[in-house]
Amino acid sequence: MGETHRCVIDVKDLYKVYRVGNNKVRALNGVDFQVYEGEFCAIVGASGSGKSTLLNMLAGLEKPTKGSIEIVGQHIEGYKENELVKFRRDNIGFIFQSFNLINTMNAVENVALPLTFRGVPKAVRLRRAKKMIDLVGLKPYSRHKPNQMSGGQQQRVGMARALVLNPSIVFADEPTGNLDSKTSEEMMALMQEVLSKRNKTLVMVTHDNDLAALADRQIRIKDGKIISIICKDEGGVRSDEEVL
Amino acid sequence: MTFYDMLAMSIGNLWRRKLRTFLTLLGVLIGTSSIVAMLSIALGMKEMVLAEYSQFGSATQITVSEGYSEDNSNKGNDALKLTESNIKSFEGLEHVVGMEPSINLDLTITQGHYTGWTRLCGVSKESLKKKEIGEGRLPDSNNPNKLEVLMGNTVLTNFYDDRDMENSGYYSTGELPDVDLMKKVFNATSYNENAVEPTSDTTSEEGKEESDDTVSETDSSGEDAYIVRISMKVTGVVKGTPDEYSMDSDSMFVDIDQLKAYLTKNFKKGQIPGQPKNSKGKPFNEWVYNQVTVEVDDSENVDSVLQTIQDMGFQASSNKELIESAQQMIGIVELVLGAIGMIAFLVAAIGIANTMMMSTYERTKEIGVMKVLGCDMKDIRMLFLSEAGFIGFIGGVAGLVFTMTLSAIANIFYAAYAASQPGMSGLDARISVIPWWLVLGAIVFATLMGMLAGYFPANRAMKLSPLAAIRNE
Ligand SMILES: Nc1ncnc2c1ncn2[C@@H]1O[C@H](COP(=O)(O)OP(=O)(O)O)[C@@H](O)[C@H]1O
Ligand SMILES: [Mg+2]
Repeated sequence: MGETHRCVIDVKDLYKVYRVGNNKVRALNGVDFQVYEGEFCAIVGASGSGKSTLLNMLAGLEKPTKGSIEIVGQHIEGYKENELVKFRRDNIGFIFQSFNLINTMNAVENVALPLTFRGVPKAVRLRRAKKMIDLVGLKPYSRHKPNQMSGGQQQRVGMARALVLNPSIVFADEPTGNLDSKTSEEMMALMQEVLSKRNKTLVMVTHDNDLAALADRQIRIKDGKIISIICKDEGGVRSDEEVL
Repeated sequence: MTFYDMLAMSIGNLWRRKLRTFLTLLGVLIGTSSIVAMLSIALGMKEMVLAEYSQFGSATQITVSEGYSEDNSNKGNDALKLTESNIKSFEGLEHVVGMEPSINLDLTITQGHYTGWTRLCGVSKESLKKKEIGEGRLPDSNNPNKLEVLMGNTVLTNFYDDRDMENSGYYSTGELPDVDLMKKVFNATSYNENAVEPTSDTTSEEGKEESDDTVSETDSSGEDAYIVRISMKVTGVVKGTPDEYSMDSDSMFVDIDQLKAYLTKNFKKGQIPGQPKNSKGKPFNEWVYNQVTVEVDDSENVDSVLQTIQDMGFQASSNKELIESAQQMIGIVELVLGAIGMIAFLVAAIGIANTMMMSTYERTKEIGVMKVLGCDMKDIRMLFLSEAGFIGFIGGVAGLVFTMTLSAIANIFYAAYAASQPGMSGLDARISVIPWWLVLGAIVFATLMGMLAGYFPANRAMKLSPLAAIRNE
């Protein structure tokens, strides 16, 4: 199973416990898995199963209660906030369910934003942003503001923005959650095409089994535990019953 | 993030919420205006009060005149006269950085029907050059035959019409007499207690000789020999109106070296007007001054130097206490007015803090997205700080422009009012003074206060969780 590829995500014994009043919510309850370079990995499960929690921790947006997370060779579980910012900037692209574009900026400026945070000069970052806009097929819309674009177009801008820093891993939390099914398919096709061409790893959260079926690796979660990991290239099913 | 991007982004954010930004700016404008206006009034008062006091000399000066021996005998007096050798001892005193001796002669000047009184002060070239000329030029001090003098700005107010002495003065008529001392050389007269009466029968050889060979001016006149003539010309007038009275505004000034040369040339030894005799009734072999101004390095040391000079037997006085108490009072006024102005600014600062706080709540999601996309925490804080600082800066500049306009208008009206009041300094009167350091200080202060007000909101924004971007959907 992908031994020829480098392991870019290695999660061991991961727990996340939220305290709500006196109750403890075990959002993640002991999770182990690996993802390899260039793979398309889907995290699948019902609502409230802990998918987003897992993804946020992989992307360094949240700290685990216990366990280790190794992303492209870095153990991020002990990182401080400012170290996490740098880690994200250097390694990670993020696509949001609700696009989260800045309303006052047009498409190109939105895509150029991560470059701005890196201190890239204006001329350079606009050139690179335009290239990304072309790549996602939005050339005629590059001067449009978010409210002048459809949901699908906005999400393509979001994708271009996630890719502009040339990250090794792209995380996406229900990227098609706010799109209709036809647009969703187009979006998925584009994402797979662009990412696999560049050998980028994609980790996507979804509750949609049809979308998950497109992935190289499906990680199925229920109540904070992995119930099965399905790999496409082997064609078979490997069940991983986690017992606490 | 680069500085330029930071600035562009914060201006963009402010522009996005124009009305709110404008209202916050208005608060800062009013706050800055109130502080600057209050301080400018305090500074205007300071200027006026200090100008008033500076008539009597600066806080580091000691005025010394001759001393009198306690037993009132003539014996001890010689050591207490301000002779050239006696005053040398002042220079050696600790903390004394300089001194200026002067010779004074009281003059009577007559032109047409008018007679006036003034005092001729022989001062150093340096002090002469320091005086501000309002009209004419500085005297040329190289001619020992004809004294060129600078006239104080209120000299002409001391002239009276011979025909009606009671009612012809400037303070009765409000009009300067028809006297022009700059037109040509004139003779002023002075009483010379050292003159030798030509008729008096003196046994001394010296006396006889003198009476034969007295200076032409004294000789040619058939008048009282004690009245001597001094030939002089006014070349310039000290800057100021006839109403701007100060300690020496009704004096005339001449280079002391020229005065000495003139007196030596025109009067015999022992007959020079104003020069006293020693205890034996003989003239001194050196110049005796009427007054010496001693300059002390620091006002703190004035008292000790003053005491030392008084202990030596001379009369000495300073304005240190007067000026210092005035300064202290002005300091309190500045403090009180500044504090009143500060209240309005404090309200403005709270306005900035409020606006920025609101902004962090509104932009929680945006900040989260920025953090997810890799914006440094410090950059986020800096973004908010520069927005707050910008409000402070623009508000400060606007407030200054507003206050300076107001100040200029107030000064015009005040000057008009002052000019209509006799006895008040007319032309230069300013009720509101805004020096360049206040301009600069106000802008820097407003900007820093803005940033200070924005510090807490900025810190809050910095610490917001990036998860905020994904939640609240
Ligand atoms: N910040 C939080 N505080 C408390 N409970 C949380 C928090 N975030 C998530 N949870 C809980 O953790 C569980 C997993 O949530 P989540 O990862 O968002 O699920 P999914 O994305 O699979 O729908 C849920 O039961 C949710 O209520
Ligand atoms: Mg979710």
